[in-house]
Amino acid sequence: MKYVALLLHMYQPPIQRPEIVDQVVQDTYDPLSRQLAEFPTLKLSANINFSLIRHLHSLAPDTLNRIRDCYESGALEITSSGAYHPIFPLISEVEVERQLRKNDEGMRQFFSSRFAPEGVFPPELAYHDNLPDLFRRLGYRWTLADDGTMSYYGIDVPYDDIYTSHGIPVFLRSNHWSNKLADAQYVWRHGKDFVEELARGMKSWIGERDGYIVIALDGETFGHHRRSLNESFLREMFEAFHNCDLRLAHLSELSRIFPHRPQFLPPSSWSTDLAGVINRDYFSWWKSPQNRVHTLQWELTDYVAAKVNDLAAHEELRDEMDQALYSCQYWWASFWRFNADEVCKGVFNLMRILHHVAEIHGDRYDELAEGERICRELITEIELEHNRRQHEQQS
Amino acid sequence: MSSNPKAYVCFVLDFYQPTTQTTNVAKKIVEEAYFPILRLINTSDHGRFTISITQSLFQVLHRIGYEEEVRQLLRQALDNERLDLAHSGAYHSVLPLLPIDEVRRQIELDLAFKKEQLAIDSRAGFFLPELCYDDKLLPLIQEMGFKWTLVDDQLAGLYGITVPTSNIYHVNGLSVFMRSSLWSNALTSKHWSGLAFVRHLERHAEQLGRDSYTIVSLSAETFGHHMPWYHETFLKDMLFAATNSVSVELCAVSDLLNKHKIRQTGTPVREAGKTGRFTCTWFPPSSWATSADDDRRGDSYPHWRSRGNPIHDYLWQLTELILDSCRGMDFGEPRNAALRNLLDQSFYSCQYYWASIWFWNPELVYLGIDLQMRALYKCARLTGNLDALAQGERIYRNLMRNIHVRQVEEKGKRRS
Repeated sequence: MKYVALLLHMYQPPIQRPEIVDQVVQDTYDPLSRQLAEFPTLKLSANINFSLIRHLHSLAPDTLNRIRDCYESGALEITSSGAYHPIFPLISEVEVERQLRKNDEGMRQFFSSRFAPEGVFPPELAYHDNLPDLFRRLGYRWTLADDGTMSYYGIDVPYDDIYTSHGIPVFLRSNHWSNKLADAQYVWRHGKDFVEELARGMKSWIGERDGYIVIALDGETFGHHRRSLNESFLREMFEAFHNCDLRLAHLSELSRIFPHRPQFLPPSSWSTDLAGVINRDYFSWWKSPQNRVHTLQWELTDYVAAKVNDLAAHEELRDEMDQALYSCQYWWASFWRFNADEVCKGVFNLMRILHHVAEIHGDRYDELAEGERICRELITEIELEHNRRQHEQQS
Repeated sequence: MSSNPKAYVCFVLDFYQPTTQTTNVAKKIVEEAYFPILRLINTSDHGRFTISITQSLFQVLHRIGYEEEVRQLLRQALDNERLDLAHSGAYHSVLPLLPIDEVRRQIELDLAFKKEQLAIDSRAGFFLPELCYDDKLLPLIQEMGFKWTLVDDQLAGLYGITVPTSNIYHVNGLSVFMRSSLWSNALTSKHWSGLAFVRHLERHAEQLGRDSYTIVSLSAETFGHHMPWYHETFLKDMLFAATNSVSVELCAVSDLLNKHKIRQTGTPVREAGKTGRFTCTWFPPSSWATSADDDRRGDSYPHWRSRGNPIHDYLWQLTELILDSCRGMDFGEPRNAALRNLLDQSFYSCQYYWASIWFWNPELVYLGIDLQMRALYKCARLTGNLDALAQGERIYRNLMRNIHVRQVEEKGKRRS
């Protein structure tokens, strides 16, 4: 039997504007949830971060209800993750643990009281070897990493067993097939075309043997990022999976079917490329030492986080800080996707928290002078980068 | 009784530091200028001085541990009638550029502070920070019970206003003195000896043949801090020379109101055909730094809000945004008290000054921006007005960009 684990990662940052969430609901979450409900026998996996669940709870309750029905019927497996989508290798273990706990508690409160995830989806599949140990200690049973850089280390991508680290399975996402689908604007006319090509691809890879493949990509690919991968594409794709020899399976199910094998897996994310490996810059989209804006962003993040940690008992502030770790602000500062407005949103969000800290300290603003300095330097650097890029475009 | 015409000379010294001043600089200023000046005033047998001292300076003095000593020196000078203390805006804002309610607030704070700290209840003179003047301020100054204020005389000729030397303008009963820009600027343009200054005034009085007065107004830091030892070589020397002069008498501005040969003459009379850029009822909008060229360009307050200076533009956009966002808040509510306190302190003159074409210190501009942003963040938390906060954040970005551009330009200038 050939198994396909299709995992859809769905997320919106906590400070996302409601009109954007509405648009994504219309483009993706609504049609996707309708199609999930149409195919109750298909076993799909999803990661829906708590930050998105909160948006859906207030802006699209019907959509959320449909997703909940699929989860409670057993058709949809939902993983745990960081509640507000931080990059796990870039924050402390204590913070990773809190993000996981908040995610699961929030999911139980806003989504389903029966929420008990077996697996952890690290945001952006940003992985390092300390994570499996932590996940195991917290009671999770598997996690994922990307296979995109494994060949550089001479690590084979398994298909009939599962690597383990610190005692729990670490599935490797197929970078090739996941990205092929994610980038498939007008590549396949119909959803079944993709499934047929995938079936041929698996056969050429593993022949007649049993095996599995993990495809994980942004749920927003379907309709929002890729207009052609719309609701009819999804319907056709699900119909094709329903009618073909490939069997969709939950990752938890695969972890029980296939044997386990210990293997060290190097740091990576689903965006790490060869240059990242060579430069030991594994998380370059979110924290590259060659990126001055990243450096200052993390200087400010760490400064504000330290101030908040000093006031650990203040829950409102703690929650503001947890939300402020969302990954997008750093992603938008990356070399490839630089967007000054989005980067600034994150900076000013941190500054709002810092001013809240000063208030709690009885308006002791001398407490935040260093943060103000970093902020000035950071905003100046963002503006400079923005100008440089504008000049480049013009010339 | 002497038949020599009198040459009254008044020194109006502005003692001011922003609350953002660093401890090291503040200590240096106190030791180099404030202490020597106040000790000089206290040890002088002749002559009286007029000074303005702001609440913001007292806050700094408190922080650096000099508050009590300065208070005692001031109290001693007041008790010995060596000092005429003018009121001012508590945090040294450019008053014509603030809404009138905020101006009133600045004055009320100053009155309360001087009553509490120096037991001063009288209201004689009102010193406009940086001598930034606009006609709209006069009714308020009068309504609040002051007897005199001071404007700079630099633009007077441009508007056909005669600079008085033996009489005093008054507007609806409020006396408006004019600062001698000639003498005030001359004393800072080179090191004068006090004796030479007194001799000049004596010769002038003799030529004039009648009692006259001259008002010199400067930052107190001029004497000893900006110009090292100038409190000795000029002020002390001047006091010594004036003691032996038959015509020169050092008095306070308030004293001029009681000199029987110095008369109140009514509102300024314009010479026909002369007019500056602005329409005004009494005096042109101006400051002690406004030149005729500035006036022609439309820059009444060039050091603090200059046309074509993008940093000034954005600083004032931020100021106006914050004040707009806080309009209508009930500041009687205890929860709003901290915001009120921030608003009072946030719009001090230096932050704009250090962004001017003539003076450039980005670090001191940043301090002002930070203070303003603190007020904006707090306002947003209290009112939930996140749109205003987002607007302020956009202005902040523009400020950072333009400050950087200016820094690059300044570096280029230094290299060339």
